[in-house]
Amino acid sequence: MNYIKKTIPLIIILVLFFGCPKRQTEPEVVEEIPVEEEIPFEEVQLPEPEPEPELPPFVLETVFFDFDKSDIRVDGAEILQRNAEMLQLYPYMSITLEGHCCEIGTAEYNLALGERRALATREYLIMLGISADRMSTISYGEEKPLDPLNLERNRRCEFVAR
Amino acid sequence: MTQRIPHVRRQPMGMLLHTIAVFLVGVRFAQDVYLRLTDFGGGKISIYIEPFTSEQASVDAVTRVRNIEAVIENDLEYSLYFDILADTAEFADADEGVILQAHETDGQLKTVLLDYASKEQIAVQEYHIGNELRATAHTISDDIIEQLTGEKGIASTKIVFSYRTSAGKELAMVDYDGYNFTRLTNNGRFNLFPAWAPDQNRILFSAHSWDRLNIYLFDLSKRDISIISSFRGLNFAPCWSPDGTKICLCLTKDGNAEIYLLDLKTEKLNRLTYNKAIDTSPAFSPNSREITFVSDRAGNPQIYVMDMHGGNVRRLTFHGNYNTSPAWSPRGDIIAYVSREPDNSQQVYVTDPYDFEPVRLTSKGNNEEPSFSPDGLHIVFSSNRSGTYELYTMNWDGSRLRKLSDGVTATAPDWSPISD
Repeated sequence: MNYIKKTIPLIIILVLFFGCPKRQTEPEVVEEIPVEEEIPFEEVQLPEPEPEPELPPFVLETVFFDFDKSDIRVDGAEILQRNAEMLQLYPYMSITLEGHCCEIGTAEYNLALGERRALATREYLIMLGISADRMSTISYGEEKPLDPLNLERNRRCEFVAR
Repeated sequence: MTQRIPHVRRQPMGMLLHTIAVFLVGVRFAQDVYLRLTDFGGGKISIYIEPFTSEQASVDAVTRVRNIEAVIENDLEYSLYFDILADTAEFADADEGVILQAHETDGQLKTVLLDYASKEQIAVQEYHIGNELRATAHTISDDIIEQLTGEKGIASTKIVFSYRTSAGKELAMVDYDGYNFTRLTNNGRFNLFPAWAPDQNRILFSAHSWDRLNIYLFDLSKRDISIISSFRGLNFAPCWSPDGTKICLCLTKDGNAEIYLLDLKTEKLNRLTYNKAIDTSPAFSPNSREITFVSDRAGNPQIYVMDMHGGNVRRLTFHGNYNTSPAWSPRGDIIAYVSREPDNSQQVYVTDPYDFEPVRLTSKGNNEEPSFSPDGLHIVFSSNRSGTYELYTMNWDGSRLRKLSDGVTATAPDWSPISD
């Protein structure tokens, strides 16, 4: 109780000092807000946390194939080179290679072709030094098109972390 | 090709009397009953269906029997064996024909087949009208077809297929005329390649688990699913031997897609193909001795035939560089398949399995995955001619197109056998 009695005068003084002027300046504060320089939304930068592990985010690029083919193309080889480097940065990450096809041909044949694409991709990554037991394969054939209107985009091998 | 229906021999006269005689002595020799069916439009049996009647005068009762009548009329027209006459006056042109009469009493429908010329009764049957009017009507249709032609009708058959959902593909079945959509699976996965067992009571299919594609068996009467094959990699494209004792399937456990034969009793698995190429889509010949399949061993997918031990492989297709999806007609004399055209569309063809002579049956949009009706006279297939993949049926020569599915994106149809 003593403590409260002592602080009451202090509170009164504080209110007298800061309470009244604040009420007067209130309209000015309201005016100031729009005056502040407008920073475009994109340029607002969030404070970066300390980059503890200096690793890029784990992203593997999709590899594309020619019609009815499972050979790794030149552009595919470059992508797999980058994917292999990424996998070496994350040595404990295991992945599933998903083979896909465009809708031309039967679902059966495309399942087999999708698996062939996944296995060809796996072989290539093994050649680049990625351990075979980090990779499993599955084929979805023509069942999961990336873009139903663009057949070339569907002839692919995707990488899914597991 | 359009000039013949295989295994249905031309008989110049007396077909109907012959049939009646066989029926009256109560013994049916199916191979002794011949149709004068040489092309569509001629040589069919003329039949006049009298409006079905009911003992009760209520609108409901009359509507019920008239609905059964409408289904029967559609079945008989579909079967290709009949000319449906609008009036008895049309018999004037036909020297022979039959009249179908039906009358309902206390939920029992009595059907009578009359020979038009002699007015003699050919067959009299009674049916209980249950709640499933369409099923009752299909049973009556099949009886009429068998009584008049000696052939088994297909009116009670069903078609199973995969249809797309937001999550994957589920299995469903419909009656052969598209009615009675019945969902079979609801697991959110990709359920593919349904294949009817010869007993019309079980369906093999493939579905994905997280790391592989397995083959399952759906028992329709027990409503039970069991796993048949789950080797590492893909287990897919199953098909039954016509006697139901073996299944042919495709496995990638040995490095790439190969065809295997699994004996369901002994569970012995025999590998039939040894090839670095993709070997898939097996389908049995109706005598169980041969298997047609797809292989890209020559550089691109083509149709091949081998015996059931994997020997005597011969290539069947030599035109076009992308031929897949073979289906052997239950009559044995034609194989339907899909060919990719120079304009990149896919079309259904039929060919003789021994003497390659392809005939194209479709032209609009992409047409895929043909499957024969058990009488070999019709083909169900998937087509995107409407913009999305839907199911259609057509006669074995490409005529009389009918849309089967309603509003679902459907693929991989398989026509059921005839149930006993």
